[in-house]
Order: sequence, then structure tokens, then C-alpha cells
Amino acid sequence: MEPIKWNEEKIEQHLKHLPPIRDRRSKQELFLKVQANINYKDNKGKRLPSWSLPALATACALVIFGVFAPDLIKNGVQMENSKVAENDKMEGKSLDDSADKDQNSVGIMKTEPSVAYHGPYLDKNIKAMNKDWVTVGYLDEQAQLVIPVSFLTDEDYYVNKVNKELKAFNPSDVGLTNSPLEKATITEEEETVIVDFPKDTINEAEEPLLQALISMTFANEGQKAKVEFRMNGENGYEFPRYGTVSEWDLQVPGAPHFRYDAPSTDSFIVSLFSTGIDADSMPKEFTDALEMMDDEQKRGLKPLLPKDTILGVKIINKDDVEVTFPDSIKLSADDTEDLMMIDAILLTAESYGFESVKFNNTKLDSIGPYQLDEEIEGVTGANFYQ
Amino acid sequence: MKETFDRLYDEYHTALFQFIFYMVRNRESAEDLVQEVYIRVLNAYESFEGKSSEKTWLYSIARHVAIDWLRKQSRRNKRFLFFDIKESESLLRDQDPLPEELVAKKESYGDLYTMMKRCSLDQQQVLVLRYIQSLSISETAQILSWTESKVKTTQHRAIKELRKWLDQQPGLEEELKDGTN
Repeated sequence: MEPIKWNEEKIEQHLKHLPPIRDRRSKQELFLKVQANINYKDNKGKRLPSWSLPALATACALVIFGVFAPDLIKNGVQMENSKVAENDKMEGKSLDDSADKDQNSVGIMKTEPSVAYHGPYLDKNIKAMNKDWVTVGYLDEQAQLVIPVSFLTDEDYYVNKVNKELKAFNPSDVGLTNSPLEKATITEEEETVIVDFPKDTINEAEEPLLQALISMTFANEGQKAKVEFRMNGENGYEFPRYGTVSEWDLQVPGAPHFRYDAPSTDSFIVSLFSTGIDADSMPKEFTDALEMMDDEQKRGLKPLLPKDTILGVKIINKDDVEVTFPDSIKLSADDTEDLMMIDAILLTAESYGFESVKFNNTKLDSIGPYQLDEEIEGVTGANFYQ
Repeated sequence: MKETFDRLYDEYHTALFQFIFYMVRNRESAEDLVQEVYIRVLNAYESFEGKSSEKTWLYSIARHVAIDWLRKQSRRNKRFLFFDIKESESLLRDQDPLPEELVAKKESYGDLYTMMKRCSLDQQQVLVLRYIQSLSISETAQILSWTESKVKTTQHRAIKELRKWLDQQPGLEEELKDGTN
């Protein structure tokens, strides 16, 4: 008997007869799990709108002023008289206070003018809003850094979402400059993104950051593995310095994260990889990355960890890590810079592949969206702009 | 909510679970993911505008949930390779065991199932929707937000590639020669 070969009809028949795989849970069991999650999200997933806290604080201030203003006016003269004596006392006290503060705050400024900080989201909160997300790389004003900006979107193909945000978002609103990708026609084929630039559109200043920018746009969560370049539809793009390049493999390496302040009031958290330094030059281990995070970096990247901070790191397994703060760090739930410090550690851990981070010795129950007495997992995107 | 869940479950659960399973190839994960699909669907049910059919809407949510999961796994596995080479070898070796239902069938089905994983994600989606789920080209195109011609091309390429890989697969000819085809 002749050996039987596969043919297309046989493959199609086999595919049609692959066995049905059934869910082993009962309908009721599944419903209870679904219901529990919906209730949980109803209770936990909703956050107060961002304007509500300032509005509440203003209302409280007006009420307090209304109650005390008459007494303050009445007692004004008496207060003026006792001012000199009080000042003498207060000067001594404030000197003591500032000495305490210097001991407690290891070289980090705790108060600062208000900044517009755009943090990452938790995956569960994005899902609870039934939204999707995308990250697009922009440049700082000096074209020295890639600043990834994330957006909440409707569900769509990743490349479609990138194209939409490139059209819709004006980076100068947050003190950044345009993305070189705005000059390209971007399409996708399987795991490859195809970037087609018109001739001579990438200048020498943009060129060194382009690989990081494209990687941070298309590979930050492993969406795409490769970029293929085209120039006016033809294979390969002719760069001013690199010459003709047909393709790059895309990779976002694990890297320490720092603060970047735009010339506007906007602050961002960016990876050291944003400077265009080669991926192979990044610290190989999470602990090494954390050790770098209290050092000033080039190109305006500022540390978010106080100088000489030594964090305790316990790697539980490939997914989970514990980070213990030293006693010298006093976090404040209301301090934006402290929230940014937590975000920077979470994003650094995420870049090294950790799924969850448990913080110890924070002396806080919560900060920003994070419950600090629980493992924090699902940190998604960076610098969300709404 | 219970009423909506009951109806959706009765009409679509078997198909949705099967779709997710054949995409992610892991029963426990498929169970978690189908649960996630219901959560998303029930959260958004009131705002469903009926621009597409309910069936294609459900499939497209299931597809996004499955693809999110696959991307996360892909990212984890890439990073895992650098973490501990012994653990990563064991992970790569042990992942995706054949489901019991397939073990009970002829080996050729197991080989086909294994080879499907070599197809690109786009091709796998089309194979699952068109053949395992028996959806029409039009329904598949709606779920994937593609044109019908892209569905046809991807399907054609997927079958061709499967054939190439299956022809290279040793051992199958013996089974087929024994008349078990």
C-alpha cells in the first residue's frame, strides 16, 4: 500500500474534527466567580475623579475660614502685640524642626511646586474600565531622550492604536516634541511592524534614539518583535549615519527608571534605555538597577531614590520580588515624589520581568492607587496621559 | 445580571471556551480567561450598541483577552530565559501538554495540533475560527476586523504551511499506512 501523504483537504478535515474541549466547571460555579469579580471591581475599581480632592480641600478651607475669620480680625491687634515674643520662641523651634527633617529625609526634597505627573496604571483598573492602552515614544525638547507616553484607548490592533494617538496627541501640551513616527506610514505583518519613511525625513539628531523609540512604542509589552524599514515603499531606509537599514530586532531591556521634568510642569518616569544607550549595556540584574537609581544621570534624568539609599531586595521566584525600605525613608501618602519613587521601582521591577512587587517597611497603608500592605501586580504602561 | 449570564452561557459558552482553549492551549488558563471574558462582557453589556452581532462581539472580546494573555506569556518567557536556564528549559519542555481529549484520538490529530502552534498568531486565529469553530469567512473577518480577502489569504497560507510541516513530520506516515486514517 502506498504511503498516504497529507494534502490540504485532509488537513482541513482533521482541523474540523479536532475534539471539543469542555470547561469542567459548572455554570453556577462560573457565575459565582464572575459575580465575585464584578462586585469586587464595582467596589475597588472606581477611583474618585482627579478634581474631587482639590475641590473638597478648597471647600473645607472656605468653611474653616468662615468659622475663624471673625475671631482672627477681632484678635488682630492683640496678636500683633505678642508677635515679637512669639517670633523669638518660634525661631528656636523651627531650627530644631529643620534639624529633625534633615535627619529624617535623606537628602530628598519633600515639598515642591505642583507638578503634572502622569503615572502608570494597574492592569485590573484598565480592564475594569473596559479599556485598552497603547504607548507611543516621543522626544524631549533637546531630542536627547525618548519619553514614552501611554494612552487609554478602545480595543484595537496595536498598530492602529499607535497611528490614532500619533494623530490625536499634541506632545507640546506636555513639554515634549513630536515623535519621528509621525512622519511614517506604519503597518504590520504578523509580529513585524513596517515603518515606511519618505526619503530624508530622519535627521541626525533623531537617528541615535530611533531604535529605543521604536522599541518602546512597539515592543514594551512584547507586542512586536521586529521592525522592517521602507523608504517610499521600497525595502530599507537610508539613514544619515547608519546607512541603509532593512530591519531591527525590537527589545526593551530591563533598566533602572528615573524622573524627567519637562520644561512645562509635567514630570515623567523614564527608563535609562530612553537615552539611546545600547540594550546590552543596561544592568543585568534588578538589584544592580536599583543601586543605580539614587544617582544623577546624564540628559536631565534625576534620581527618585534619596542618595545612598540601600533597599532590601528579596527575589521570591521569577515572578515575585520583595523590596524593603530602610528606616531612614519616611514616605508620605500625599507626596507626589514619593509616589513617583514607588512607580519607578515598580516599573524597574516590571522591566526585569517581575509580575508582582511587595513593599515592606513603608509605614503607609497606601499611596496613590497602591495598597502597600498587598503585593502590587499588573503595572502597565508609563506616563498615562488623559 | 444572572439572566444575561445564563443566556450568554447557554448560547455561547462551549464555543467560547473551545476558542480560547485552542488559542492558549492550556485548560487552566482557558478557564481563567473565559471568566475574564464574561466579566468584560457583563461590564460592557449595557453599552453594547449592536453594530456587530452579539456573537462576533463576544468572539472579538475573547480574542483580545486571549491575545493579551499570549503576549504576556511571550514576554515572560523571553525574560525567563535570562533568569534561570535550568528552570527555563523545564518550562519550555513541559508547556502545552496535549489535552486528554486529544490523547484519546489518533496520533495524527495530536501532530496537527502541535504543528498549529508553529503558525503565526494571525494564522492560528483563522484556523481556529474557520475550522474548529466553523465560522463563515464573513464572521471571521468581522471578529478579526479584517477584510474577507485577508481572511482567505491567511487561511490559504496557514493550510499550506501546515502541510509543509506535517510532511516533514516523521512517524505520521507509519500511522497512516496502518489504515488508521
